[in-house]
Amino acid sequence: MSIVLKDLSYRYGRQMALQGISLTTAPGLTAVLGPNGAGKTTLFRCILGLAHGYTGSILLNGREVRSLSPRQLAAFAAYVPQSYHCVFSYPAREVVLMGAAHRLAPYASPGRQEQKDALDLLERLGIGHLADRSFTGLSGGEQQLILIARALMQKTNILIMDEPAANLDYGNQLRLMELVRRLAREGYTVLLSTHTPQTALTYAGKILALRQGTVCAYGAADEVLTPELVWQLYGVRTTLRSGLLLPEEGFA
Amino acid sequence: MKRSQNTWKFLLLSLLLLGLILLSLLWGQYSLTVGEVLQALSAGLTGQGWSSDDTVFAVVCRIRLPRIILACLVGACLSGAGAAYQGVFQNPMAAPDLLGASSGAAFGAALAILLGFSAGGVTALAFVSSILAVLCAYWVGQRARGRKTVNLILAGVMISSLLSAGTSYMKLVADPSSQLPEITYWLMGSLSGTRLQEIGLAALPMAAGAAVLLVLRWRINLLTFGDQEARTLGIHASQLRLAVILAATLMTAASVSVSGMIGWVGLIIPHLSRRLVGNDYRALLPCSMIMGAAFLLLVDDLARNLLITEIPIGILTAVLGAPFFIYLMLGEERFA
Repeated sequence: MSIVLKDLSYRYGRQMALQGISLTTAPGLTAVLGPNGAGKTTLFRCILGLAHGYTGSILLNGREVRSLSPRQLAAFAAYVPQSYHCVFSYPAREVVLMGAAHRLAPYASPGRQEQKDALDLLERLGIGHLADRSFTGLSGGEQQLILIARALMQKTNILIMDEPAANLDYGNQLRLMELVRRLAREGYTVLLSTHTPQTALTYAGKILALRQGTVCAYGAADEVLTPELVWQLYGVRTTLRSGLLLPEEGFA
Repeated sequence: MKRSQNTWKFLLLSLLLLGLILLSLLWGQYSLTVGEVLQALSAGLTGQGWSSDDTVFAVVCRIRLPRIILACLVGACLSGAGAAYQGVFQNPMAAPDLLGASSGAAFGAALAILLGFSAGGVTALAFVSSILAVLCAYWVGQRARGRKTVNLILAGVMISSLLSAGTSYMKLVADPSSQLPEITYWLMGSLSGTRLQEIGLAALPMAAGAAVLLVLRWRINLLTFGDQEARTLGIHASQLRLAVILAATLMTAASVSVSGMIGWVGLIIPHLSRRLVGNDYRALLPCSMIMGAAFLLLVDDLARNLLITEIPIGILTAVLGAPFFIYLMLGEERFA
């Protein structure tokens, strides 16, 4: 029930995007930190089977990603995109239903059981009232919750979230992260990238820090996330006081 | 709740289509009563109670009925294929001729007429070259680097314009007294002179394509999210897209090769259907097909009855279609 990376490397043309990454994730929330271009998204794309031609190995529940079909991959890992744009709008419940695609035969469409599962899931997340609303008419926070519901509909134990809180206001960010914390406690392996070290510190059990395609640090959040690491990653000075990362005055 | 609403809509649409079929049987140069039409139909079904020189029977079963069936088939196919293309290309402006199906058919038909083929030969060559044009565009688009859907659309535009140039050249060298009018008339599209055997041949690829689309229709929804997201949901996007394109192309090629160029149906009707039943292809595809059949049947009725000489149906669909599309664009609801 985990992701195992062994000497994972990936290159775009001449540019090394990931270099020799080896680690094993544990159930719970792992926050992925790193400056722009550090390789967070590339790492996620590799794990999701979207970036072909990586070297090394990626094992999802013991199976090598490159040998899995899209259908098998979708049964192992679910993806929550940062934002969502679709030219045609669907009711929220239909969006959630699409998470069941990998369980259905190619010619089948979702039946009563899947419909019920989708509605139950929305209730469980406290957003049952959104079921019949048009997805594109929802607020950013509500859309993000629906996309999480769609990912849960896939019934995987691995969730990959690419900066899910990036476009949300403060309240929605906290609500979203509370939900992620709840899922992590239920036993999901959540890999979540964020640009806010404070979010990682507050919610994550583990932190994976990437810089220039290599692992800068990986370990328990309260041990790994120090002002030194923040300096290494982002080049800014901070101090850590009772679980709060605060900017140091006059460093710039 | 949603589901039962749609059931009502489908029931009403089917009734509308049935009513239009009856109207089309009655309406024409040779006026008939409901009783005569029903009698002729039952005679045609049972094979009894008519003589070969019976004018009523000939008008109903040999002239009007084949044409009505063809109008319905072509309308349903063009609309269904248009709806499918829009999903596959994540583009509300996609029409069934996007990848060159129509210009391929036009090229093939013009070539066949130039070579002096029979009517059947013209249809066959139009069908084959329509399919070839799409396969060509697909091959080019698939090999190009970058976003697949954009590349496919661009390849389709290129192939179309190449084939249009070829068609123009053939019009230039065609015999202006016999071949040129035939080519021009073919290009304008018409359902006149439909025979039952012709329908039998065209119906095969149409049915095959429609069956594939109907079976895959829920999955087309997932393609509208883009390839990568579809893939993370467990869909092999390029395979599914190819299957849908092939099915939609069979339907389009079969339609345009028997009816000539009939534009706009594949664009307007899916849009209208989206307004009516939403974007979910489970309802959208069948709705588009029923509405397409009804629409083209109505337009064909107008084409053959509005003026004393028949108006080519391709002209009428454009004249009715373009203003209606503009009306939709300027309407209350958010458009694209």
